[in-house]
Amino acid sequence: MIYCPKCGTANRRGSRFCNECGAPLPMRTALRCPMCGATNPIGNAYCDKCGARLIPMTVPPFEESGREQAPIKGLSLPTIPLEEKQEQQVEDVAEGVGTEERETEDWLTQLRASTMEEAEEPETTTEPIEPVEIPDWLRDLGPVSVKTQATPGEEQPTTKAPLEEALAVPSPAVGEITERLQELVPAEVPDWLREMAPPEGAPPQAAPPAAEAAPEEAIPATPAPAPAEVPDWLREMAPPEGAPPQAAPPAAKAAPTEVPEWLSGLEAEPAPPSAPTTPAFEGVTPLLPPEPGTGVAEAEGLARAEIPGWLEVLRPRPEATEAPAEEGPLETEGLLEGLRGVIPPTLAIEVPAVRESALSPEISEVSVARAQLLQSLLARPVETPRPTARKRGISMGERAQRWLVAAVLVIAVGGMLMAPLIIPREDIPTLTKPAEAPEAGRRIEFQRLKRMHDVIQDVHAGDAVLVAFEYGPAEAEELNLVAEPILRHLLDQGAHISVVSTRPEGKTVAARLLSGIIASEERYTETQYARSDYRPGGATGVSQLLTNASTPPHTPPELILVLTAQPGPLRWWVEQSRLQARGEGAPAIVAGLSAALEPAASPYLDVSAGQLEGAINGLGGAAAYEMHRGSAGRATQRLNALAVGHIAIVGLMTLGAVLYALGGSRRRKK
Amino acid sequence: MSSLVKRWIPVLLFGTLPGLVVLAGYLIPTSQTLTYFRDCLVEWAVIVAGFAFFLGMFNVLRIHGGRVAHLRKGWLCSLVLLLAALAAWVPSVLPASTTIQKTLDHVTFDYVISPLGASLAALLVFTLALAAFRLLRARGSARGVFFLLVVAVTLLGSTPLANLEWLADIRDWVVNVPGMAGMRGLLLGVALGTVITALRVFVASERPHSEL
Repeated sequence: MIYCPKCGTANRRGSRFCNECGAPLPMRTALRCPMCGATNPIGNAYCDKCGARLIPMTVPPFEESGREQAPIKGLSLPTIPLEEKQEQQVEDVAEGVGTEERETEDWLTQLRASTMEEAEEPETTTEPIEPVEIPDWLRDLGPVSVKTQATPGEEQPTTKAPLEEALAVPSPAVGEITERLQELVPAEVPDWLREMAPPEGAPPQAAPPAAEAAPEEAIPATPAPAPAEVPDWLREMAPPEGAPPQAAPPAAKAAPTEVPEWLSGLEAEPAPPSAPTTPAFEGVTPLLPPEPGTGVAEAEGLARAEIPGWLEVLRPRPEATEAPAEEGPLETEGLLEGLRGVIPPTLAIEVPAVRESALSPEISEVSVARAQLLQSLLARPVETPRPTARKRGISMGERAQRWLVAAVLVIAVGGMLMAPLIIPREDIPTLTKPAEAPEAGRRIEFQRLKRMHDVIQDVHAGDAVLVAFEYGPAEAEELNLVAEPILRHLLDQGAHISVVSTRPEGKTVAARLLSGIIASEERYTETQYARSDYRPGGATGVSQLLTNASTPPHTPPELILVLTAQPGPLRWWVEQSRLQARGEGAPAIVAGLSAALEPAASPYLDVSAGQLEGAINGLGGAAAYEMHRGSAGRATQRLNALAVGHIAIVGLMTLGAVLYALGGSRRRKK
Repeated sequence: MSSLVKRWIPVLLFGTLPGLVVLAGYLIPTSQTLTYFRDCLVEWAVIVAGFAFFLGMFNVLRIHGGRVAHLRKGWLCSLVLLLAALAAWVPSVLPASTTIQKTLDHVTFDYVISPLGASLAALLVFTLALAAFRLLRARGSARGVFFLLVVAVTLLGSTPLANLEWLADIRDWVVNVPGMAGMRGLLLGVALGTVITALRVFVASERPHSEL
């Protein structure tokens, strides 16, 4: 979860903005997109903003020997698989590759910028070496060596054995150079190299493998040449399998004098530069000059070839070779497909803007101690405590608003309720006009009230009336005022009231109200208020209450009065009473409802539906009913307070709207 | 066989069959037998609903009693709840119409339950008034302004204010035209949902009475 720094709301992990207040949420650790620079949560495979891929194919890192690199999730990783690297190291050790050669191989390997997959296809790796790009030092290497070999005073190596060895070991150094030069720059190939090539159309038996010619002189440490590294012309020279080695004289014996001495000198090395196990530049690697002072050529008196500028630039610096090779991941899709290490995503940590400190750069002991403490804390295993939502205090403005609303309501409503105690009732200004005004007669509300009045007026003395008290103490302040004029009307008609309810507290509420009404008038008698029944179960309870009320010895009700502030009980009573009593004998249903329930009761009050004969809603309806009957009661007395309360609330709404509208426009201007 | 005994027979016996009997009792009211069984089943349902109250009360007592017994967090509030439940329960078990029963009932209802209920209702009015005051802060849009206008007209139109009868006319139209249309839609939705749920119970596609 991410907790909003502004309001403290807990938001889902990865959210950018607060769901409550819309404030941007901090992203402490993120991946920065290499394309657009947007920060993305750790774990994103694609950038949320531009859709660029953040985590390409991850490959185990290419590591230097004895150095483990911790994998970093979400970052571009080197490309050489660990298994292949281990195999390569094992092969190197078995071949006894020296450190110098390893060094040379490493930095050349970096130049390849490719994986071992490419190394398995040496032909493809040699493609970048265009023939026209072959430097002069490579072309001139032959004659210079010859001249060097001809220098007097130096020990001349035997020519036969090294030559045979050179041909026996199809060194890519010699073979590949010759082949490449013949194929690519035939016009510039020197004659001494061209003469080494076999004549076209020569029988393959003419050049048996040199390895058979001098097998005892083969250096054990020489790596086994890969089949792909054997030049074609040498392969063609190979005898057919099974052919006796004596069948043809070795070609090497026939051309010892034709091989330049510089080449023989190279072959005379005790440890000839073995070709790398996976050479990228076939034929070039052995001829590359080693490090100054350690080169084999210098030891043999050979002039060190000059490395062309373009190759020298690519030579890594000593410090660069110490760092692990960073090869980007291979892009497998999109425009960058096939490229490697293109703008890898970097781990970004958002650091809040910090002003430059004006403190002196001297580090005190206290600072050192604090730094050590911080370091020790950071070194501990991370136990991320769950951040607690910040307690949101109430600002002074909000507090003032609450007090303002409370004060206005108390003064307005309470003042109107307390006014009759202070000043005579006749002097209190009347804000309302609930009387049966001519203009009120056309209103739907008044028509429903009038129908209800007429239905109750039709009740005769002794008729059973079922009164459902479906409200509790919380709604009693409103619904008691609504029920009172209706119950008085029923008692005036001499009806026999039976109280029922599906709420546990309904029975008590009814007893309190009816006892008060009966006690207030001498003409009312306790016998008019018969029994009270309670059934739980919602609609099922209503069904059973209706069944019981219609079952002897009870008299079936002539009228059902529903008093409620909830839509559920109203629906139960309407549906169950219509279901049980059909046809002409169905009792009429009227309702005394809260003001808030009027929209819910409207469909039942439709004249065509005939489900509710009539209803009054809220204090206004009760006051109108009282006025319709010509006797002002408690509802009429409280109507002024209700009107003032409504006016006060509308005034508060208007004030709040104006204040916040002005505040909003001011914020927008800023 | 096991599935038939464990799942389908109870479902058919206690779910589908009673539902069909009650439904048939309402659809064929002339059949005295069906009506009798219908009334019996409805009465059983009422008894079960009453027993649910007992189970609920027992659960409340068990949870809060355990909290008080082990002095867990909030045990004091639980103790007050238990005492209040006991005080409300005692008058109902005392012999009716006795003086002590009437007194306890009167005190409990008139001085505890009713004032608390009325206070909660008044608090709701205050909360709604405060929300109306701050409405444009949360929804400062045209819809918020329109909502405020509708609320103001409905509030003032509900009161028969002198010389503002035109507000009552507007309020009547709002309640009886768009308000009633919406309410009819809700009622139709409830009715259709009830029918579908009943059918699912009848065919045992839904078994709210069984965990099988």
